[in-house]
Amino acid sequence: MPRYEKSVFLNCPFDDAFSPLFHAAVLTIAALGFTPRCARESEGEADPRIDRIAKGLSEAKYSIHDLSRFHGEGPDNLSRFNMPLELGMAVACRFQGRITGIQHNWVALVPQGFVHQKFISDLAGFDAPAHEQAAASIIREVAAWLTQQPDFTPPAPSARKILEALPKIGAVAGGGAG
Amino acid sequence: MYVFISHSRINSSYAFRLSQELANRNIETWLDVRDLAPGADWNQGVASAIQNAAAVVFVIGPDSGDRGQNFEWHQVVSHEYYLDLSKPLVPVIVGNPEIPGFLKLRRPLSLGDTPRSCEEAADGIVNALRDPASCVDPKKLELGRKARREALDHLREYAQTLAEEAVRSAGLRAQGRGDNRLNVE
Repeated sequence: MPRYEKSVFLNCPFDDAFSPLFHAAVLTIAALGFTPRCARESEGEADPRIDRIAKGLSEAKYSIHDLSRFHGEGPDNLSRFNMPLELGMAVACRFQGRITGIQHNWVALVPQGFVHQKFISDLAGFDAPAHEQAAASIIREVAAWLTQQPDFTPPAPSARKILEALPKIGAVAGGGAG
Repeated sequence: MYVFISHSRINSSYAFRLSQELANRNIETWLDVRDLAPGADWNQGVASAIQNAAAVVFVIGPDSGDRGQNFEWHQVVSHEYYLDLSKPLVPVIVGNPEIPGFLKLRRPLSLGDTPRSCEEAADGIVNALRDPASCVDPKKLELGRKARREALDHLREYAQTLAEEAVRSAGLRAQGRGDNRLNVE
């Protein structure tokens, strides 16, 4: 079991289109000395997906929630609500920590501009980091947030070094560097 | 040459006292509430002031980390000033706060309510300006380097796992094609 204070739960789309960004985030988390975790690690287990996600969140001190995809999809033009739901669980973990003493901290990544203030206005008051659906901006924002956390141990590879290493990972993973 | 003093509003009085002590030692300081020109863009002004500062002092108390100070921290980490050990970054702690990770290599100075503690903190900042290496904790630096080596090992494991998964899935696809061929035959 990875150490709680070094575990970062990543909540993002898992489809092919997002794959390069997923790998960029995972690489950044690992390069900064944390252990990336996500719902995929428990795929195949019998528990309902929401329970597996709750368990994963409860085993990680930190979580990163990507809210950059918010448009409707498919023939019915429906948007997916999984990311905001799981962000809500992380917010609850943080508040619960005030009672239990088990700390949790989260960050929401949002699209460039201020459009998130329309589709998730309850985040008002948080300066949510924005990215441009590109590996470089994901690495920049994930690294900037993690390095501010008390469990980060410097020194670490620079964001540029991480970005340079990404094509190697992306090639092995079968995706581009974004 | 000036020292940027990063602080949250709740710790303004500490920041101003420190600024005065440094002024007594002929060290200029930059405080947003005092030095930003009226009407200037706050984000741009602060980012520029941090970039041009000879050193950055972080006044950190138990309730630190308001939006302004978070922006200042973000500037320091996103521009990776914290990776430059020749740039003095000096945590000045009030009470017993949690120190952000990017400052862990730097020796913290304590600041209390007495004039003497403020003088000592100012002396420590002057020392850091004269000798930036003095504010880096060598033991923590070595621990950090060890952690970085471990992180790189994890990355290699991750790349290896991905490679194995790629091979496995390629094998499955090949097997699938083989099965199809068998079925056709």
